Amino acid sequence: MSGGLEGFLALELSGEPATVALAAGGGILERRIPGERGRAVLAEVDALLRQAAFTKGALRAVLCGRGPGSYTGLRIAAATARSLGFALGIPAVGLPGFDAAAHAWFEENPEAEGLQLLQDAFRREFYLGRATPSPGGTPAVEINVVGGEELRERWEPRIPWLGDASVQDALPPGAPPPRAPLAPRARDLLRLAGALAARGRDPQDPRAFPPTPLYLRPALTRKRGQPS
Amino acid sequence: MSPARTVLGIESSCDETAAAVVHGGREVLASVVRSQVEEHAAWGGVVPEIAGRGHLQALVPVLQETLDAAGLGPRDLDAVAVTHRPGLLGSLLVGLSAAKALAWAWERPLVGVDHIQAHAYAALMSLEAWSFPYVTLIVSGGHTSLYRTESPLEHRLLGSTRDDAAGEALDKAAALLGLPYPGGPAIEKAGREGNPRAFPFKRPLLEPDSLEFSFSGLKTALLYTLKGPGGRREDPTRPEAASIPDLCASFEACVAETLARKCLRACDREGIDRILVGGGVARNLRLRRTLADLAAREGREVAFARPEHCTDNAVMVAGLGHALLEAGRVDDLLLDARAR
Repeated sequence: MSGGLEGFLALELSGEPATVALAAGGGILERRIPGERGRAVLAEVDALLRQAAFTKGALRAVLCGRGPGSYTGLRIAAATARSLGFALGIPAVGLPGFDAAAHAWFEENPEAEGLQLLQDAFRREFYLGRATPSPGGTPAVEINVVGGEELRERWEPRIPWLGDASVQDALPPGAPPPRAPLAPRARDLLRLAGALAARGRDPQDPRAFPPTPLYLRPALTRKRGQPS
Repeated sequence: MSPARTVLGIESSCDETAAAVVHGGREVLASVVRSQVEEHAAWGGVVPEIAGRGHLQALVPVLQETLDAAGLGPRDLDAVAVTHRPGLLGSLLVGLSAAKALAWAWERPLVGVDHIQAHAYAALMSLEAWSFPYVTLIVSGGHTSLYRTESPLEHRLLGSTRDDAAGEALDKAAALLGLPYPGGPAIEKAGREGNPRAFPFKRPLLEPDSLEFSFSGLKTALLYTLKGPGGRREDPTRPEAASIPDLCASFEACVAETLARKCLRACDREGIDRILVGGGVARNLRLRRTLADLAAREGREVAFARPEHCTDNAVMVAGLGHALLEAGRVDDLLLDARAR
């Protein structure tokens, strides 16, 4: 299924498990990255290429997950993708992990009419994604940062959701448990890139798919001299 | 002895994104530094999340500009050196991730560099010939430490700050005085015409044999000076304009003299007559004059890093990286970033 993506390398470090994947030989190979903070991402990329008997010179693009998720992990993925792109002379691009997870879920659940994606954003806030399928295409996903009250107001109890069970307490009473954990994987990024290519989009275009984390919150809110 | 090699250095430990190419540990072929100081000025200090975002945006353009300026390609490089400690973790990880990617893609050795040791190397680079051992002072916004330096790779800690780094004290003093960030250059500029003896701040030399530093009390002394007799002035951040040059000169003189006297104390204790000084505060002219004068009176020599190599840069990273490469100290792709 990855024929058009042959030589695409994907890095997904927005959360656990962190993974790398390669489209090679008409399929997708994936490896988990052990340890913290993506320390081993390049070691796993190296192992992945050896496993696939693939040379680095044959890579055609590097794709990183844009999140939302851990800013540290997202930046490691983006810095690695950009630098690999620079060093090898190939494009570096990015796709949101929520979009990739929603696309993978709709592929496995073609009858579904919608999906909610929920992740703890810490500081008493949440990343809330709302995805709707597009027949034969890629889902439309809207992602927002919401507080607990807004989350309960916007929650659609009849739409299934992906997320960690630990955020269930933030939902309205009686909300069903998640269908599955929300864990975008590198192979999901490649599958989404393949679907985009099939719809005539160019997944090697960094202007359309920038290799930059989704910064859904400002870096800091208080300037010098302003009250806390 | 192996032939001199060409090393690409990458620095991203705080708020400067930098890359450099250095041949043989000394010959600078290219150096590019992109500072984020304007982005952080509104907050009065470095904001880690802003720094991390800035490094990610700047890194590849800085690398491209550096290689273009050097007129070199990947085949001309023998290793990739990178600061991996100490510093802001989120910032270090951007540079380290990039260095790993380049080293892997170009099949070159990866060399992890300690930022403090790199500042010491910057001071060594200012000398034609080296004559070890040295007493080394590294003084910046994040570090104030004294070392006994036996070689570019051997530094034994003699003492460091118990609280604020010297540069941090200058930044905080500038904030109290209503001066812009970064505080060190602002205080230096404002104090240029001031009287350094106008306000006799007590020199925080601590115990007679101590090689540690403490600048937090000095900052408090400035605050009480600003509040005036009896602490009457309601808004101590608005001192009388006429006193600002004298306050700046006096505060800066106190910091400079304290640093200088500690260096000389370390020389006495270690039986060493040569001093190296590196780090961002080493640019400060009052520190340079004070230490040079006091050392000369005792027949001691002082070497400061060149001004352009005092603030964070990648020349010192590539230079020290060359020394590590010569010593066979290279790292693998599992090299990690460490805040301390």
